[in-house]
Amino acid sequence: MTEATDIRRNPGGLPGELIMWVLIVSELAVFGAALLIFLVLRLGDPQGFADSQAQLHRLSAGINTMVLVSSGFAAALAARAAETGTAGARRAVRRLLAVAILLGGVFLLLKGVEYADAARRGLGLEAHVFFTFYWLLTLFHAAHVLAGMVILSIVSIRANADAVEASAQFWHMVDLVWVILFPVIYLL
Amino acid sequence: MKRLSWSDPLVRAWVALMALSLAATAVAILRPQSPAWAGTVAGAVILGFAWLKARIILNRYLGLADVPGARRGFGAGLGAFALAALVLYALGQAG
Repeated sequence: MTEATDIRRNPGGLPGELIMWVLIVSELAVFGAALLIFLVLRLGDPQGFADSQAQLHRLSAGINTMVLVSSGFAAALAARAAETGTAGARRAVRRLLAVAILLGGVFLLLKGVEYADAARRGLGLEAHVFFTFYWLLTLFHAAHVLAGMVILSIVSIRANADAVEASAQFWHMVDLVWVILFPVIYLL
Repeated sequence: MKRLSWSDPLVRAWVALMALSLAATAVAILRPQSPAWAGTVAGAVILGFAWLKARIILNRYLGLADVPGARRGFGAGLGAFALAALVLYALGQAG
């Protein structure tokens, strides 16, 4: 049996939980629409947006991106290990989920440092429309990271294959949202 | 647990994601301020990398590599987003 056929599938052929795919599409639509509105508003004040963006720590955000995709890697390995269902695999799943959670914590720690620095410099919600979007979108994303860490922690207790796969799907959604948010807010 | 190796699609996906993240950050930091078209080219490269990263996460982490219809649908949707973002960014650069 191939690896692909080991994965539980929905009638539409999608792997994992169908409801998670509904959530993934919804989240991409919400964040995608907000980012396009952000870019439309930028047309009215490109210099103001560029000056505001220059206040952010691009390198720190780039490092955080690598931290988050590495966390996603650990979660993907955990979901694959959980499929085997053996006692040894369960220990490996717990270790991999712990790595994913730890890296999620590192992501939030770096974000916390970034937020504290922005607040200290008076770059709050009302400093510029750029920062209104910056705070709302990145805080909303950070809330997802925190929720994902809680979900991964709960799931790691029993390390049931279906639950691990669903929680890993949530974690990858958090990854996915960040990889479209990061370039628009920090890099463009 | 399966031993990790370069032939493992998950390992290759992770390495690609790390490299693309690093490259996008480097392009943003090192891009020239002028002329305006250089900024637009850098923007296109950055958004292209983001599109690739999203495709890798969907295909390898989320398992869409084995579901061609959904893979194409997500790829087209994300491509449309990246293109719209690039047009808006380029208009801002020109203005």
